[in-house]
Amino acid sequence: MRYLLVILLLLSACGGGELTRVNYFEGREAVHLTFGQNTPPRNVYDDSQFMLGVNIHNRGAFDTEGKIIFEYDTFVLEGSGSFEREFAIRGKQPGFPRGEQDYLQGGFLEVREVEGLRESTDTRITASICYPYRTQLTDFFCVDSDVFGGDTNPLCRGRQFHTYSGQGAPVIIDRVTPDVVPRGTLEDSTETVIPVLDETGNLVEVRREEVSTRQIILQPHFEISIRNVGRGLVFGTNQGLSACTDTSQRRMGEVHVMANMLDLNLTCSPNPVTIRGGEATTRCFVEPDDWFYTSTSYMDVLTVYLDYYYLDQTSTEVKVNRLRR
Amino acid sequence: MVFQFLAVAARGVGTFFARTGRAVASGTRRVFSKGKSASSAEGASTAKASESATNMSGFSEQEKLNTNIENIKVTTADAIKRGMGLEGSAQAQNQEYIDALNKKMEEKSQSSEKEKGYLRQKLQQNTDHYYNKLNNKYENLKSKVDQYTDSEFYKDKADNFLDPEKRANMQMGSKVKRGFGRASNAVKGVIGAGFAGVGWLFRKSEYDRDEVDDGMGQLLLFIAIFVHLFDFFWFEFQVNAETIVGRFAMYLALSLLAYLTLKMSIGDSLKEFTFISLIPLVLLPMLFDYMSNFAIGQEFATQLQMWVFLIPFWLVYLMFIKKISAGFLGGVAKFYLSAIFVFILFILITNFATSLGQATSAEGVDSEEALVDAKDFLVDTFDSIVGTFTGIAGRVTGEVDRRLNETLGYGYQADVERTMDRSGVFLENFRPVGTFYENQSVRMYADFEVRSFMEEFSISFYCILRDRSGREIVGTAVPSSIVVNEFDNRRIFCDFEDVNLSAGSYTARLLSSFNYKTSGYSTYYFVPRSTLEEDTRTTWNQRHNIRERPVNIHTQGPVFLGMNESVRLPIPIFENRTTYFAIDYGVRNNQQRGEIQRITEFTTKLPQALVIEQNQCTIPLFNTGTDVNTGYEIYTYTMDPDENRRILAVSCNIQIPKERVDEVASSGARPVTIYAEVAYDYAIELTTSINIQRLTGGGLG
Repeated sequence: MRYLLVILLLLSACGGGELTRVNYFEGREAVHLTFGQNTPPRNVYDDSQFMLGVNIHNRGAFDTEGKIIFEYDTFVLEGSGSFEREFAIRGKQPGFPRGEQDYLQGGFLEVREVEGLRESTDTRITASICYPYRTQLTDFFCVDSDVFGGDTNPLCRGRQFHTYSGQGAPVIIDRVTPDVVPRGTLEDSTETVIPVLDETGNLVEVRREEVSTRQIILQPHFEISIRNVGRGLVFGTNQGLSACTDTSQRRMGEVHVMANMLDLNLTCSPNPVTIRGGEATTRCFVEPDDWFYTSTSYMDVLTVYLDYYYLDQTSTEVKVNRLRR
Repeated sequence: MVFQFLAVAARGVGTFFARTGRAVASGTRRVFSKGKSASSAEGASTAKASESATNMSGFSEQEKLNTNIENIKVTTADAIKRGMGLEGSAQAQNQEYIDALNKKMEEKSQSSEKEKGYLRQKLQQNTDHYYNKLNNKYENLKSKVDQYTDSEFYKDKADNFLDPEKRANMQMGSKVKRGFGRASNAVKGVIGAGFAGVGWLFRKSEYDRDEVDDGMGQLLLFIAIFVHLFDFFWFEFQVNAETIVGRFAMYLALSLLAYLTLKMSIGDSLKEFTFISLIPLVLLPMLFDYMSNFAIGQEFATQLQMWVFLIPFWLVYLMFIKKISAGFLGGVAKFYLSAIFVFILFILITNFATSLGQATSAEGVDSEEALVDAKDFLVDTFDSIVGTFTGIAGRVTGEVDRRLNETLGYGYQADVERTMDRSGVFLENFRPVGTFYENQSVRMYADFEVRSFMEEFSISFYCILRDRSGREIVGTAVPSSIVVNEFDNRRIFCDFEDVNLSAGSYTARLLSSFNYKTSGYSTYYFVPRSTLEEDTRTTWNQRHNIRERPVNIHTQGPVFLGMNESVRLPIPIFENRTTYFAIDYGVRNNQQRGEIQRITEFTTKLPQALVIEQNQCTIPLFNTGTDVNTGYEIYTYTMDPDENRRILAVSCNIQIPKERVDEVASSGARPVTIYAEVAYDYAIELTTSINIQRLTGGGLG
């Protein structure tokens, strides 16, 4: 009887709910970094040790591997002033609908004796997180063949541009403006069937004639607006994670763009694009070899990828008290 | 009406601070010029600091003393030389005379024996006379020389001059007389303002007399406020022969200004403003003198008078005695002034009552002790109230100071470290142990407290009593010197024994001198230049929650050690070439009751990536090694013994070689501390007045 009740309870728990679709490509954050509770402690004493630790939470849509760099004042704490730890963390995905969370132990720091006549000193410890990340946007776009506005019932009416709030990354595509550029016409002919009728309306014969037509050659292109909506810095590099600590290898604000329409790769310019003042714009278009013609408008799928390195920081104050009061 | 009121107030305030600013500026210029003495210390950057500095310096006296001693030396040497010369001269002349007479005698050898006898007698007489005359001259000179060289008075002065410690004592002991010099300045200032006001009035009065009267009335009100504040800051409400003159001059000038400018009858003007003046001038001193006959004790009465002086009597008068016309003082202004007055009065009464209650409820305390304790409580409360006023004044003067610093190129600022308990050397509550009568020994004491992280430093104490004529009596400090190791808390006694003091008012001073240090810290942030190209400085600072100016903090103590705040953070550094930036350090006195006697050493510690090359500072800072604790490079400048700096402004060019960029350049926000330390000799002076009571006859019946 007892087991029956448990089974009923479980069954009732399963029932009544609805499966909800989770869009992992939402949000404006990637890996979120905070210092662990009491690591470091708010108050420490000179000539002692304390532990550093950070909580990391990948709130974005992509898995990543990166580095965390701890920095501190060597006047107050022993050491070279910085050290780093590597991490790997998964983004939002089945099994981690909110992204993976982890705790990373940074290590121990030794406190020097308070220099001079000071009773205590406040010192700042900074943790910088550096990782490669990707922004992905997939959306339907209308390829408008009615470039001269002759269509009485245009398919693409009111679909001039699309705006977005985030794709599960700190660098977002906030606006895509599609356009179609006519690149000429294509002479063509089609065989047209013309019925010939008599006076009473009866079909006399069927005549076939060649009719010449002109198809408009189209080049779809997209203006893509990019924004850094996170707190951190964006940079590009060919040196991988070593650029996280070697500032000379960074190209600040650089984002690589990749776009395609189904199986058609687009060319983007500028690419890489540089974010300045938090914003950048690039245009992605079809190369001449792939220009196509169509007499009707249609919906197509555009996918855009942005690849970049992201550097974010958090800091905390530690009060070092002189033990000898 | 209110706007007019405020406009007049603003004019008055503007004039006052403009005048103050000029005075401060000229004073500070004097301070900043090296090697000045005498009035140089009068130019500290704030009014109170200026006062304090003047109290402490005594350098005009020192110069006089130096000059006197030098004169004595020269005169002594001269006299000895002359004396020796005269002695030799006398003997030589005498011998010459004898030779001449002998020669004459030889010539007269053919003369009769009688003539020979006469000549020999005359020769002897002349010789004796001349020799005695010269000898007397020599003896006189010798006695003068002995007086200079052997007398205790000059011997003491010479000793004091030769002994640095005693010289410091003398420097402080022979401080500048306060009353008349300041009083004359005050009178000049007030009279000048008065004439300016009269001129303005007469010019305006040609057009609209009524309006002028209203405005003038308000202007006078604010002048009265400033006179009262002036009385507080300058004379400290002391009642003695010196301050009473200055105070009398101030209030007289105010009365005359009222008489000349307000459209009242002569009698009204004089009566009203003389009434304001008479209270602090005459009535209160009489009241205190009368109170001193009771058991509350002279010292309590002396302290209480400060309290009573704090009550703005001019405000009482305006609020409750004078029939205020609507034009003279508007309703809104009257309301606010009334509220201020009631607030002040409330604080005074409640604190006084509380302190009396606390004091008298203590067990085993007699009435006089209870009142003394009550007085202490009152004084503390008084200090807190004064602190409010001086806080406002401090902010104003701080602004003046800041602008002065900028003008002089010393844009340094710093905050004082906040600690759980106060830190530093404290000498306070200097007072007599009881009531003293003429021809008795006098004993006074002060509370002394040290809380510091300095290991072993010595403090010396000196006691001096001065009567109205300026005669100074050196007392004995017990203990006269102590060695402090971090903490100390005791009482310092001043004994004036066998001094035969007559009844009257005396000024007692307790002086202490010690060597001390102040540490300063500033936190900098460096980022690669490329980072700032992408990230603006503002967003970078916001992201890291960092202020755009460096946070400079110096330890508690009597000295301000600031660093420049002109640098904007983060400092961008070049990755492919040397980066330069500048750091300024400033050292000056920061305590009202003390003064830096001499800065002895300045040290700064920098990370190895920050390099000071030789001749890249305004003073020759030398790299004296590496700090074993922090790995920082130490740069030090030790003052020559004859280098008498009391302020210090150091500016250095710092360079970051491109090879060392990685040591400070940060991925995030790596703090880099720049450390500075200054060692100095410091002196604190406490002054209080003491009344020696007359011994009334008593008799048998």
